[in-house]
Amino acid sequence: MNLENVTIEMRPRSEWEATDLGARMIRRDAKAIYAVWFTVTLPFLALALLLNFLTPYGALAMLLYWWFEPVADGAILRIISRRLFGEDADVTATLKAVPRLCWMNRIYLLSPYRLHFARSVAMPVTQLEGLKGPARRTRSKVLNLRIFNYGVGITAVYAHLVMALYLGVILIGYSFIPEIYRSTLGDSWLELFWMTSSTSATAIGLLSFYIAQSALQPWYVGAGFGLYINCRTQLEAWDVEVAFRRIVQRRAGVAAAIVLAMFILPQFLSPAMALAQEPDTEIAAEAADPDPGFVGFWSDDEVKPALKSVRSSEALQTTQRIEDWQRIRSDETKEKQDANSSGWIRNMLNAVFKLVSTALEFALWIIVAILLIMMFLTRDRWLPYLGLPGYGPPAERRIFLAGGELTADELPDDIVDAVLGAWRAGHKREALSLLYQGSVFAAVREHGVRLPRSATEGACVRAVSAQTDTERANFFRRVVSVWIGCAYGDQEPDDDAVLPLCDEWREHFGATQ
Amino acid sequence: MTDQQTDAGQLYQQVQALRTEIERAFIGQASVVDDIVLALLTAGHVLLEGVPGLGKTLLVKSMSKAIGGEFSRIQFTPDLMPSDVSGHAVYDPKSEKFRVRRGPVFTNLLLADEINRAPAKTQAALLEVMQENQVTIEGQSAHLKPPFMTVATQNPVEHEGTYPLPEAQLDRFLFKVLIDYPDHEAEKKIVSAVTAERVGDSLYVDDVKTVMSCDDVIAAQQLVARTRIDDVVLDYAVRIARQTRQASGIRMGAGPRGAISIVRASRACAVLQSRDFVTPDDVRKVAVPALRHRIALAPELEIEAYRPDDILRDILESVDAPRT
Repeated sequence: MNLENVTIEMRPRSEWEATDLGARMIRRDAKAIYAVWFTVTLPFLALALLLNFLTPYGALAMLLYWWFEPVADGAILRIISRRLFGEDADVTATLKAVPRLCWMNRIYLLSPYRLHFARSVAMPVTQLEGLKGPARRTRSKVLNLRIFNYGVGITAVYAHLVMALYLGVILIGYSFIPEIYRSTLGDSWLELFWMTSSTSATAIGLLSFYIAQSALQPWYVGAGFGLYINCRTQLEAWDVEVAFRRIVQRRAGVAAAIVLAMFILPQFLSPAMALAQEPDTEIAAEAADPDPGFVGFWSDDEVKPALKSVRSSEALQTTQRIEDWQRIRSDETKEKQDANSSGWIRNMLNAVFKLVSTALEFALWIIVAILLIMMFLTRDRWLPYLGLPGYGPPAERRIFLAGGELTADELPDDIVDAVLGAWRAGHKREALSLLYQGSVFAAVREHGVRLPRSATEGACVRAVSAQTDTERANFFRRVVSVWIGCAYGDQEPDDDAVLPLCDEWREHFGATQ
Repeated sequence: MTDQQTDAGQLYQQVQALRTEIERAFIGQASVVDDIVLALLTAGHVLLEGVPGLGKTLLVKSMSKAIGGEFSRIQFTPDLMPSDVSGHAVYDPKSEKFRVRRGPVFTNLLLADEINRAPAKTQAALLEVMQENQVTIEGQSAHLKPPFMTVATQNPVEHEGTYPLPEAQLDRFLFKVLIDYPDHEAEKKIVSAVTAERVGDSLYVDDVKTVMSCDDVIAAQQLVARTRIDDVVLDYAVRIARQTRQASGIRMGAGPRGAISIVRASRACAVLQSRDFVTPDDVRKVAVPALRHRIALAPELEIEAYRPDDILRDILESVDAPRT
């Protein structure tokens, strides 16, 4: 890292200004960033799509794609960090560095840290400073005091925007589907894309998510990096250092060296700087970190003589006498009393706040526990959607016919036998009702016909006609015609109308029997 | 097969022929034709809403010719008087007596063009005729010869200088039918039909044949009245009408006349499909045109450009179909 080559104006910024700075850095190198983004993510996307189509684990494929997405974040981070200090960050070198970046960022790929609320500001600590273990945690604590909340804010905004864009992409696609086909796809777009286990719907969902993420992910990484850089600028006074370096360049000499050394000294004594510059040499840094510019930029060999000369310089040998006026207070006793009383209030408030915070923390843990218990109790409902081994396919679609649910329990095992039995026993209406309901049930279960909840007979005919083959649709139409004549017209058909329907029924709907 | 069944079969055929003949002149608006024929079979009146130039007059003229009935047209204007609609008594100097001059309502099919351009008093005169099927002039009542049907039109875009029909009067129309622009193919056919070997742009209904007589229409109306409706289907119609009073987003729902209109029209719908019983699908088909003018949307929905049809479709989705 050479602060003299920094390509932005180094100055303390407000946090939101810093996120904007990150976004501007992304815009500046958008071409290289997007080249890397697509090169890294497209194979993951292709793999996820392949898994979706070739295995029954479509939802798991989607989850895996999302989980390993930080691989690309590391590459983006490398480009913008190197470009910040005027270093070369071409696409090929970045792509070559991807495996090493993956290893460095493994904590965000292979552990629950993937769900870190402020990953965009936490990743630079791991990747750019090469810290791990307790050192990383200590360093993160220092930075988090200033920027964690903003990092969480960025994540929240990003998540909402991605979701909005994702839904937008799906809705745009859905709006291009002609209305006559929509009823064949589902009752609504929500049901089509989220409540279905269809591989095509999962693939469309994944592609929509990829489009949304591609548009926003680099900005998310850039915003986090902007915050990180701004935090270090403030903590380590990089802006002051840059200014002094310029003075050094202008005035080579002892005086300038003294000033420079005066600035450097406290830095070397601060814990933050020590953490930020853990590796000594550039070679060591390169081994641990693809961005060596971020670690130590002065070796001990360079610093020690400078310090020695500074200590022995005349400027530090002089003594100075400073005189100042001090107010002599007449009511010191009263002040002490105020101090005592304010201390009591402060203690009380501290105790109250501590109590409240403990209670809140306790409540949050209870909520988490309840959620976990609920998830455990309802595992049979949601685990099948993940397509995990050992869990069958999602529950079959419920069939609502004319306001009531039609279940397999209501129907006999052999529809045709039951219909014929009822018909011969003279219960003609019951027989035809059973024939109709059995046909609807079979159309939904065996042929995936989707029906609106308040479907009438006509709606069933339209759905079956649109979603199955012509012969089956014609047969179903005949069943419905006989049924509605009996149900609403009080017309009992003769044997010639009903018995052929029973004979043909198994040709069209008997697959599950 | 009984005589009654034979007659019904004949009437079914005539009704189908009537629809075909109207569609011959009024091209590309099959659903509008269906609704108008349904209203005729139900002895109801229709409020037709659409921009000018979509063939509303042609529709009524062609239907009039297809049933061999009389046709009148009144252009409603702000200075139109009730007597211009119903008729009035004039003094005859020769006989030294007042003679009744019958107004244009004495017809079989009346086109009340742009009904909302006339003041409330004139509108009320027509609506009274529609309700009572009789006209009172100078204290003398005269019954209109059946079949009588009014097709009133209004323009959905020009509201300046109009007198919107009050809800109570809107309720007297069986259907409110929306007429939209035809699609490309239909419009091509219209342009070709109107311009081929024709001088000027007057309306030609020469191709329309008379397939029914007024007596046949009356017989068909009686057949409709006799059409069987199961209790569960009747209940379905009532539930739909009642749901308009409970659904969110509706300021004022349909009254009992809404359910009555649905049931009457659904009977006609069954006849139009050559059936002598009503199914829930008939009810669903007629529910929107029968209810769209009987409900008033809440202001917030109107601001968001929702239309009554949107809400009614939601209601139809939410009301369970009958399960027998």
